[in-house]
Amino acid sequence: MGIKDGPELLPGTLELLILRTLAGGARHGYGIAQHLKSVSEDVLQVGESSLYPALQRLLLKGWVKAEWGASEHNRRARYYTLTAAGRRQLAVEQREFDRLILAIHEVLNTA
Amino acid sequence: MRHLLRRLRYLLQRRRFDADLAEELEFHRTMKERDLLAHGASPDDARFAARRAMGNTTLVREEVQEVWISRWLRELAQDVRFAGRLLAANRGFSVAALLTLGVAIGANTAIFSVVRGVLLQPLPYRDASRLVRLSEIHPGGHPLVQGDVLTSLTYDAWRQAPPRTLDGLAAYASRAYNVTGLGDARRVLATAVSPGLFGMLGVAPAAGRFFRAGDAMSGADTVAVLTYGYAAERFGTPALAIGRTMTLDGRPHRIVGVTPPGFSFPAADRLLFTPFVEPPASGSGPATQVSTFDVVARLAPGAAPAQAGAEGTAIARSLGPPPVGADLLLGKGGPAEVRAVPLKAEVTRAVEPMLWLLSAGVVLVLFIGCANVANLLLSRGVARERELAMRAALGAGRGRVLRQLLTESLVLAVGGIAIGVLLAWELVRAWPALVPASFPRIDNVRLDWSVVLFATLLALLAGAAAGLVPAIHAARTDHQAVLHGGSGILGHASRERLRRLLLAAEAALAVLLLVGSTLLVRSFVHLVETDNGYDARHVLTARLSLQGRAVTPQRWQQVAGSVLDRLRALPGVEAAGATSMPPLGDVAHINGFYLPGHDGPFIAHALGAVVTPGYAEALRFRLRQGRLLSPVDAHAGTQALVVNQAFVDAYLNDGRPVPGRRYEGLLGPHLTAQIVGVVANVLNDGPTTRPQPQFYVAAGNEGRVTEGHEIDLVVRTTGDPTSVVPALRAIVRQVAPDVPLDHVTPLAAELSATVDQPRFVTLALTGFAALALGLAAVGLYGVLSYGVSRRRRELAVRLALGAERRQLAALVIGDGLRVTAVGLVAGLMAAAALARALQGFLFGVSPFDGFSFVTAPLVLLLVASAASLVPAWRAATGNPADALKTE
Repeated sequence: MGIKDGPELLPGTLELLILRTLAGGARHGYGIAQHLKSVSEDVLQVGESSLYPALQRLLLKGWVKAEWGASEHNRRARYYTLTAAGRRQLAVEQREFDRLILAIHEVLNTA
Repeated sequence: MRHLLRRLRYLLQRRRFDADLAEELEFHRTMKERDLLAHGASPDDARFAARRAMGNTTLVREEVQEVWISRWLRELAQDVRFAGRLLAANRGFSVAALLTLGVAIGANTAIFSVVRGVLLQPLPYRDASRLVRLSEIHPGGHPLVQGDVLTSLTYDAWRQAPPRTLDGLAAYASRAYNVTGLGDARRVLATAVSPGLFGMLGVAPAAGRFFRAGDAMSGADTVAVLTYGYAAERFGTPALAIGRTMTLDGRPHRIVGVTPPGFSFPAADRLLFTPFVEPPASGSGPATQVSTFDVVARLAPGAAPAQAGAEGTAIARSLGPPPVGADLLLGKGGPAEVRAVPLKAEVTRAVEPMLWLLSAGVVLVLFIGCANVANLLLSRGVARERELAMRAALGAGRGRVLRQLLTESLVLAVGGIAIGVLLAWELVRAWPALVPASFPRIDNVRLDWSVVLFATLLALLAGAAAGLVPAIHAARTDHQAVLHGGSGILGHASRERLRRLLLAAEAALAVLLLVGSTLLVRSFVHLVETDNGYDARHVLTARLSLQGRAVTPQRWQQVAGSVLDRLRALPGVEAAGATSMPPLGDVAHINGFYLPGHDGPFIAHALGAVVTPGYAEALRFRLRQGRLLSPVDAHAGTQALVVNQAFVDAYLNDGRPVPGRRYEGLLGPHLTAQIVGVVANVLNDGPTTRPQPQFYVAAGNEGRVTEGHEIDLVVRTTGDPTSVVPALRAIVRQVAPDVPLDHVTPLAAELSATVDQPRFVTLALTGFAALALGLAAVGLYGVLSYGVSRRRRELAVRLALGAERRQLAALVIGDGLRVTAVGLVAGLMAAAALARALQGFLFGVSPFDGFSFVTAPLVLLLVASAASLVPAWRAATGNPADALKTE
C-alpha cells in the first residue's frame, strides 16, 4: 500500500484521508487524488494502485457509496459520497489518529 | 453479515463491477493526460505518462479483486484445508463424529421423506385439500357396518337440497368380481363409483370415457372402466381395451374407459371400476329401505369441513326419526350426526400417529448425536488449547479463531450430509419392504431434491449447533494462561461443567428412548404371545370365491366337498376343512336369535360360521366341553352346534353343563339345535381384538345360517404348508375351473401380518434407542478417557501417597455413573410425563409399566459402567513414575 513518490503512510491512513476528503462533498477518484495532492502541497501523491483498492475497501465496508454522474468535462465519472456509517467512522478514526500522533510526538520529544 | 451480502452482490455482478472499474480508470487516465497537457507537458510526454498509468490498471484491478474476494476465499480455503488435515490426523475422532452425524442425519432424512410423501404432500387429485369423506353416526349406537358411511337417505336429501357447503357428492362402494374367460378364473377387487366421482377428483381418462349418468341406472348396459395397469396387463396396450368385453361374475361388461397411469381409488389394490347403482328407494316411514355406502365430497370454495358436517347433520335430522333400517345399520343411538373429514387425513389415519412417533424418536437421536459431536469437539479443543493460544498470540482475532473452528464442524457436517444422504437413500429404497403392505401412499415416498435440501440444512444446522459451543469456548479461553503454565486451568471448570451437562442430556434422552422402546417391546411380546385359540403353524389357507347371484348352499357344499376330498388324499396333508368365516378373513356373518332366559326369551347375537368336518381339527381348536362336530352331524335331523367360551360367558353362564342343551327353531324353522361342545375363544380379527360370542354349525345342516360366497379352505400339512399349493391349484382347475382361487397364504404369515405395524414401530424405535444408547456410551467413554489423561498427575500422586489402584478405578467409574445418574433421573421424569403419548401403541402394557421404568435405567447404567471400564482400567494401571516425569 505504497504512496507513489511520497512518504510512506501508516496503515489505514489513506482511508482516513479519503473519508476526510469526501466529508467535504462528493468527488470522483481523480478528484480525490488531486485534492490530496493540492492540500498537502504535493507531498501526498496517491497513485491509482493505492487509491482504487482503498476506495473499494471503503465500499465493501459500507463507509462510502459510489454513483455514476456527469463530470465537469461532461464525461461520465464515478462519484463517491460518504455514508452515515462512513461519517461515524471518520469521527472515530480522526480521534484515534490524533491520539497516535500525540503519542508519537511524546516519544520523539522525550527520547 | 452485511459484508457478506455485499460480497455476494459482487460475486453475482462481477462483470458490472469490472466494467465500472475499467471505465473509472480510463477516466482517471484521461483526466491525468489533460492535466499534464494543461501544465505544459508536450503531448508525447502526456501520452507516455497516461500509457504508464494504463499499464498499472491490471495491477489495480487485481488488487481490487483481492479486496472483494480473494483474501476471504483464500482464508476459507485455508480453513477447509486445515480442517481436513486435522480430521485426517485424528482418524478416531473423525470417524466417530462423521458416523454420528451421518447416521443421525440419514435417519432423520429418511423419516422426513416418509412424512413428506405420506402426510404432507397433497393427494394426487385436483385441488385435493377440498376433498372430504362424509360419515354418519348415531352417537352411542353399536353400528353393524364397519367404516365411515352415509345412509342413502341423507345422501339423496343432501344432493337434492342442494348443498351449500359442498360442490358435489359422489358415492362409491367396494366390490369384488370373478373374472373368467381368460386363463385361470381370477378374483379382482373393484370400486363401484357414482358417475360424478372421476370429475370430482379431477382425473381425465387415458383412453375412452368415464361413466355417464345413464350408466348408473339399474337395467342399463353393464360397463366398466379399467385402471391403466390392469388394462395393460390384460390387453397389452391400454387403448386396445376400449370396446372389448370382460366377464365379471358371469356377466359381460363392455370396457368404456381406462384411467391414467398410477390412478386408483380409494386404494391401489382396486383394478377396475363399475358404475355405482343406487338401490331403488322403497317403503315409507319406519319401514323405509335404507342402505349405506362410502361418500366423498368436494367442499365449496371457502367452506370448512366442520361447516359441511353441520349442514349434513341438519339435513339428516330434518328427515325425522330414522327408520328401522338406519337404526339397524348404524345402531340405535342419539340423533344422527354427520362428519366431514379431509380425504387425506382419512387415507393416512392408520399411520399418522406412528409417523409422528418415529419423527419424535429420530429427532431425539439427532439431539444426542449433536451433543456427542459437541462433546468430541470440546475434548479435542482441550488438546488444541496450545495451538489456539499460539494463533491468538500471533495475531489471529477471536473472530478468525471462531471461524476456523466452525469451519471444522461444518466440514464434518458436509461429510455427514454425504453419509446421511447415502443412508437415507438406502432406507427409502428399502421402505416398501420394511413397512406393512397396507401402508398408505407407499409409492409417494421418494428421495428427491427437496429431501436432499432438507438433509443439507439439517446437517449444517447440526454442525453449527455442535461446533458453536466448543468454538465460543475456545475463543474465550485465557490464552495467556495456556501459554504460561501447562493448561488454562481457569477454562476447565466451566468446560467440564459443559461437558457433563451434555453427557447428562445424552443420558436423559437415551433413557427416554429406552423406556419408550421397552414399553413397545413388552407390548409386542404380549401381542405375539396372545392365545388366538388356534394353531397357525403348518396351516395353509386359500379362498374359493363362488360367483355372484347363483350361489346356493348345495353349490357351496359340492365345491367345498370335492376339493376337500382330493386335498385329504394328498401326501403330507394331515387335516383339511372349509368354512364360511375363517379367522383373519374379512367376512363376519352375524346372527340374531331368541334364547330362553329368566324373564322370557331375549335376543342374542353371535357370529355364525358354517364349517365342514376337519375344520376344527385343521386349526387345532381346543375343546373345553363335549365334542367337536363330526361328519354325521352334516345331515342329521338335529342341528349340532359347537359354541365358543365367549358364547357361554355371555348367554349360558348359569353354571349348568352346556353340552346337550337343545333349542327348538333356533337357527331355522322345524329344526332343533343342540349344543354338543364348547371350544376356546378364537380371536377372529387378530390378537388385539376381543373374543365375540360365536357358534359353529355343520355345512348341510346350517338352517338359516348363511355360507356367503366364499369357501375358505384350511389345510394342515406335516411340513411346509406352501408345498401343497401346486397340487391345490391343480385340484381347483380340475373340479371348479370357473371358480377363482386366491388368498393362498400360510396362516402363520397372515397372523404375523396383523402385527406388521406394531412390529415395525417397535423395531424402529428400538433401533433408535440402541443408537442413542451407543452414542451416549461413546460420549461417556470419550469424556472419561480424556478426564483420566488430564488427571494423570493427580492420579499418580494419589498412588504415590498410598492409594490403591482399585480405589482409582472406582473413582473413575463413580465419576461416570454420577453424570449418568443425573441424566437418568431427568430422563425418567421426562418419560413419565410423555408416556401417555404412547398409550395408543401399547397392548396389554400400561404406559407407566414399572418393569419398563426399572429396566431402561438399569440397561443404561450397565452400558455406562461398561463404557467406564476401559478408562478406569487405564487410571488404575498407569505408571506413576512416568506420569510424574512428564510435564
